[in-house]
Amino acid sequence: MTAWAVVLSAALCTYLLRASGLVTISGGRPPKWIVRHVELVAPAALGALITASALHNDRAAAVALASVAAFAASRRLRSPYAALVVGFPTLWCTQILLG
Amino acid sequence: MSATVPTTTRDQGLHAGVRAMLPLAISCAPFGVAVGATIAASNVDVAPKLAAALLMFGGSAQLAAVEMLDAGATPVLIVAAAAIINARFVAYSAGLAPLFPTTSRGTRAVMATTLVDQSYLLTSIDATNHDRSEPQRVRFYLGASATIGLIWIAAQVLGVMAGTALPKAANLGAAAPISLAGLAAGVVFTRPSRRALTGAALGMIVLSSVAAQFALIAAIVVGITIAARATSVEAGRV
Repeated sequence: MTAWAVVLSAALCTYLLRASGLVTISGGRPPKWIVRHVELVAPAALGALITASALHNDRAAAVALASVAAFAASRRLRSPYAALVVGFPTLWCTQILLG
Repeated sequence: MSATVPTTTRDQGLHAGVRAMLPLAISCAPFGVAVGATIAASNVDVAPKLAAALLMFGGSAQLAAVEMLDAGATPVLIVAAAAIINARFVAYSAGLAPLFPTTSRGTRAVMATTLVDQSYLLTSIDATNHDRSEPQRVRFYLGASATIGLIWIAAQVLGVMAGTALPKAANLGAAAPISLAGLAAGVVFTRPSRRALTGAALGMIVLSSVAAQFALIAAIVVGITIAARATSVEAGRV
């Protein structure tokens, strides 16, 4: 029962965070500070998430290199699938090379 | 900034959202399987932990909750940890709101249930690159959210059933940063966006060692602040 209560409480808390802006900011014009910074949220979130995921991986150096290769391939070929097709072989090769 | 592309009549949003999310959702699947395997290996009831996939709809917070439940942490501490990990959703939610100014509050409340990194990032990038009407944008968001939701839950169920058979050397946990790096390639076209990404990445490296629990949201704030400040200085506003 406690596990269910914890999961439901965490889910409710997470939902309130998710709904905070979408539900409260309505009707045309959002606050100026949001308009000014909104286009920076996505790149900043990506920078933080990619780095956090790489740092938490046991093979951080290989993951970092694979992420750079994935970025370059996706940029060059303009396809999100290119990130996986180039990123994983780079990861596995780097893991073998680094031992 | 790339030029906006007008949508065709065939491309009404929903299937564009599904199509755009598919590679990201597929790359999230290994993480979902890994979370499922962790759930299967834990010694607390599987049902509430697996239900968390649907109810919490977020891998990092769910994984933290599962591990803390296993470790016998107090309920308040577990809920607080989930809130801290998911604090970035406040920024995402505020960031999405301007894209749906005339959508009803009820619809936006439903949309909030599936707000995750990928659905926010894809929708905001799509809004920059494609000239969709607001209803099309809502359908894009819902199509993208449904795609990642179904694949995420299926992956966790698979992980619960067969997670221990995963090949460890494949390092499938790296799928998340690799796929997000691919997504980043479609975001950083302007100097401020490059500064935001680089600033947040450097902020994460510094902060992860001193304030691990708050590092993610703090690094995002650092990236935004650095980029906004640099842009203001260049424009002579400061």
